[in-house]
Amino acid sequence: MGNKITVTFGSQHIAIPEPVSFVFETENEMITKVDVDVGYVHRGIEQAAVTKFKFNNVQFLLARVCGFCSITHAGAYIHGVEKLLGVETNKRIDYLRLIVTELDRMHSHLLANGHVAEVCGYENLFMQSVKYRENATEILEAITGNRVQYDYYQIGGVSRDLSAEHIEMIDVKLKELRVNVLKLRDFFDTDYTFGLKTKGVGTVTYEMAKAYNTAGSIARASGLRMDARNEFDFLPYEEVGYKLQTRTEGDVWARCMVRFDEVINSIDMCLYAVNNLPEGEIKVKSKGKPKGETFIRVEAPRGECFYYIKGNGTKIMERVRIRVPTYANIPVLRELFVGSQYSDAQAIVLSFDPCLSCTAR
Amino acid sequence: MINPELIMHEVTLENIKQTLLDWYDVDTHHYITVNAIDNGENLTFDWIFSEYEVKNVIHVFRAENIAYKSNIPSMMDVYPGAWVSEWDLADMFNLNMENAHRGMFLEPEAPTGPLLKESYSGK
Amino acid sequence: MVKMFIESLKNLTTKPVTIGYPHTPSPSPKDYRGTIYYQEDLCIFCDLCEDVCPPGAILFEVTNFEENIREYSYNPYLCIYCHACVDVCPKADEGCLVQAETRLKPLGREETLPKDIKLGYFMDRVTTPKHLDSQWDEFEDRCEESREGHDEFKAEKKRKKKEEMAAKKKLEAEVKAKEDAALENDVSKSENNPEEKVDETAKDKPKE
Repeated sequence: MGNKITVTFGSQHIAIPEPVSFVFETENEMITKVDVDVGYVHRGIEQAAVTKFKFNNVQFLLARVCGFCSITHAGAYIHGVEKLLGVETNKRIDYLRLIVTELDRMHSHLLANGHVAEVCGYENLFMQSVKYRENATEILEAITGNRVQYDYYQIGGVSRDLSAEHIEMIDVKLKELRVNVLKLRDFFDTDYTFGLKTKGVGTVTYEMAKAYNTAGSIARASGLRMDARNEFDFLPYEEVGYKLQTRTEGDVWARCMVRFDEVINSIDMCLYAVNNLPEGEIKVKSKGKPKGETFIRVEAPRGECFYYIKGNGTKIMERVRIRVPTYANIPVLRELFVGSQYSDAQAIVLSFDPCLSCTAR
Repeated sequence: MINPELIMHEVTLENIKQTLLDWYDVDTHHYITVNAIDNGENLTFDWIFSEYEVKNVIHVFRAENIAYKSNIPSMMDVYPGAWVSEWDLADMFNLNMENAHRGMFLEPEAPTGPLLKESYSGK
Repeated sequence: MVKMFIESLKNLTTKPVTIGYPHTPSPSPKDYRGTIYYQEDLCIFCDLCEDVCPPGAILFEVTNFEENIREYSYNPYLCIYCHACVDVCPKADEGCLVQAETRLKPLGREETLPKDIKLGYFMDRVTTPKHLDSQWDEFEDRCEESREGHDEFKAEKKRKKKEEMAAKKKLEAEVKAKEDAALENDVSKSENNPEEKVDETAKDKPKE
């Protein structure tokens, strides 16, 4: 007893596809100390945004910060630039943007939950999640014309319109997805062995969530009523039936459940938006160069994404600061490890759905 | 178009910690991030907060005219999750940040202070 | 757990969702963003696409300074298929820049390069896939040089024109000066009559 062993988790680990390194100091199976290193894939995007790219090109660069949040990163920047240029978008543009943003959230959440199931030893549940997720990605592909890099947001509008054919297809596929997600949620909810691996594991209490300023589904799973969609009017969420989803348990299981509830809510919002699409142009003319500064909060799939944008009246931006959701969740993750079993470490990490390419951008 | 309600608070490096200790309430305020802007001659620091379930309000604590080599206080005593953003800024701007472990975001052989204007404008 | 077991059994009898990709081709999606094709005879050489391209995959090289002849070049392996160039192209409706629904095959060492003048001059000239990258880098430098050269040429032309204008003006000025001098001589000759001047001023005064 009392023998300390250092176990490294990463930088390459089979549970996470991205390079992050945790060095655990363990006593028997218990973790007593953690060191984190995240900077393996730093690409200097904040510098590139203020040196190499003109302001009307930066959204293409920022969409490549992360494959999953590419819509929200580009979206946050576009919202900011539109504010600086004084562009007022119409309702149709807002609705189209909302549909794409929510579809992005759906497929991200389904993959995150599938990953949790995978590291808990439930390989076939992971396959099932990814199979159902395909509906969301297919819709995105049909709308935007690409599977990963959507490049849908443009300054003053969106790149493509929805045809009647699209609307019909989205309606059918989303209804199918809704049925499937409810089925999946039922598996996650009622499965006995999955519950053993996830219930009561890695609990973030309400006080902890508040003290560490967590964001996204991690905060909401602990009962913290915190969602940028609720606190910042970047898209017309209230009109389409947005509901804040919270749980109180705060463990790995609750985080999965919050994600499922959000997917269901997103599907409902998308179905409403698609069937009540306002008329209008899909692009508004914009002119001038951005001058001044602005602060933008948007809700990325993993939590709140914050942008600070400053323009100086030239083609090149003065400063683009990105605060990604994982920043808010790393501190509590580090605290959470201490005192938990090493065998739970994978499930805890994956339930946080960390995005390392966002973190080291 | 978004119209956030910005609430600006002017602070200095000396009084920022005390101001935040007095102002920050864990039940209502959500810490978002700390941001630095290079003005070419000096730095501007922003500590940015929002409020839970209050629409479009952003609190900004702004400290202006900070020299490049100033000692920046850490806010980890006020809210313990502050270190990620602080260490990030310390790496990116080559700052003397209190308690910061350098090299978490950048590798040792990476250029120092890549977001400083002098490092990319070729001065 | 029972539900999951039943689902697993059901999955055993259903058809697979996946396709055997390399052997069966992936279904081609509609309206996909693919390779950019260009038609030179429709181009008005406004350079908007070069200006907007985020990765710099579209470049115009100035080959003839005097007549301002440019050649369009495109690197399909650098392109991010973002559609920005087609959006800004003023002649896109007529088919100057068109985004196809398919992409070119990934570039292997053994592959032959696609030869199509619609892909621009660079792809037409490059010989082996192995050298595409290095040749593109050289080409980028050459383009910049040609741009600078063209700017210099234009500046030179402007300067020459200015000089010519200046010379012309000078000449004119000289001629004028001569004429003036001649006129002045005439005036000075005529100025021998001071009484006339006095008369003029006297005429003006009452008017005021």
